[in-house]
Amino acid sequence: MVWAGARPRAGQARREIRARAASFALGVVAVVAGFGLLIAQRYGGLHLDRLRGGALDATAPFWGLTRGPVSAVQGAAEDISGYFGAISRNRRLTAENTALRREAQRADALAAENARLKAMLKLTEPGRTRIAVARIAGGSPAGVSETAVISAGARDGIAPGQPVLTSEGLLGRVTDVGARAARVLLLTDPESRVPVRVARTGATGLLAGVGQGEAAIEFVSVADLKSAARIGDRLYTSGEGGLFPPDVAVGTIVRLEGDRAVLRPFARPSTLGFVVIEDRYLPPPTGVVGGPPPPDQVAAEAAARAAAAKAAAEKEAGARATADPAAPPPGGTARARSGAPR
Amino acid sequence: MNGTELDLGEAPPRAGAGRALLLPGAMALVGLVLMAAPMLAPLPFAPHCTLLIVGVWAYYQPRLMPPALALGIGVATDLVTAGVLGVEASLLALTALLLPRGVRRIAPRSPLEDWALAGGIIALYLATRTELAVLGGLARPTAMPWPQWLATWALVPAVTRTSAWLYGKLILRA
Repeated sequence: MVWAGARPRAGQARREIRARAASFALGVVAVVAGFGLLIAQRYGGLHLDRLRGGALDATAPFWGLTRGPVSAVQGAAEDISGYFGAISRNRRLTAENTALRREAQRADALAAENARLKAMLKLTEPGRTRIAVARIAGGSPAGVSETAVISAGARDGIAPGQPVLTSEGLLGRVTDVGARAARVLLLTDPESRVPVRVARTGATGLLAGVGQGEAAIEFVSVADLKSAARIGDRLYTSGEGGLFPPDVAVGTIVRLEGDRAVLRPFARPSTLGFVVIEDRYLPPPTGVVGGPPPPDQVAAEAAARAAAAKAAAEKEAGARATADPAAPPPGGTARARSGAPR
Repeated sequence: MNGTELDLGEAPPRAGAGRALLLPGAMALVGLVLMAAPMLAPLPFAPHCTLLIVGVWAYYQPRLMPPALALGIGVATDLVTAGVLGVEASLLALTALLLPRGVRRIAPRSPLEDWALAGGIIALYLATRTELAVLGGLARPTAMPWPQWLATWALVPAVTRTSAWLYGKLILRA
């Protein structure tokens, strides 16, 4: 294992120096280009959605290859641990099952009462729409961001901003979308923000990721924190903002640090399980979030307005013609009144 | 890093420059796919494969890992790992520029000393990456990923041996 070869021959020294100088200059240009990309994204607002989506699609086939052995190892480890711990786990699960049955009966009664009260108040709530069920294909265990990759993309109806849930609770939201794969920003990523509610006290706040598998909710003061939360409290989504549905389990508070409570999410992407992607709980207000609508949407809306105006004008003209046979034709009236394009 | 001797600036014999660049480039892409592998733990435990490959090749065979190639690998790393575009790109290019010209000339030559030095370089890289990500728009800095540092550092000898073996098989004997 020797990397070395022959040394440079005599007479090549000058050429070698020039080549090294040129190579160094090219290297400096490459470094400057790298920092230029960084600054352009920070201040120039590079739009990389398609590029990131393309990168997802290009690498998605390889995740199947890497996922296979990892799943096999995980499955074998679970089988072995399951074999040795079967009896004790069976006892524990039996006890849990008994307790959960009691809880389920109580929850049924409460749900029925809740439904009656809502009916009395004539309360209407938006429903939750499931978009797709997908498998977690990969993640970014070596990157700055904490993300997971799921095996569903734009072809399956996935769009940025949609919440992603597992059987344990909220996992995160979709950020980048390719044709066959999408990236999920985990709750623990420093960019993540989720409105949450402490189940025991009802205190609400904004959960922010802090990295390394944890997130935190900050309070105004230590006194506020102590009155609102304690270790072991469960957090659920509050539904504020309309992106995440309310009452989805988020995680448990594991420690208190100053005026913030650190939380460990229930949903773990490391389990390589399946996730459910839902539509936004509430649609974004038109023209406020997400900027102006796309041109084709504007054109479609203009055409719809024109058609509606034309129909209304025809109806009005028809009524007038019945009363006055000398009235102008309906088409001209509609265009003149609405000003809509032909 | 057992006996990995390399003369600085030596061109790979009997191989076209473009073809010779394919090997470190392909190794970096394989490393990149491994970096995006399924997660086994919530901690950032996975080694920084592209840093390892760029670093080893830039240190021992700088002509086969020019900063421009490192820049391309960095852009791909940023895109695949959903990082802030430009962070890995600029840092990997800087690594490929400085390792052979600066660090290697002052670096000790025994394998153990090289390995110890690699630990410092990896720590500096990971710490700088976090700061650059904040500069690039990350909401708040994350803690230093020590598990990732340890995993990356532990793999330096293995990546060096593998790279040297592939270099001997695919480039020197080509």
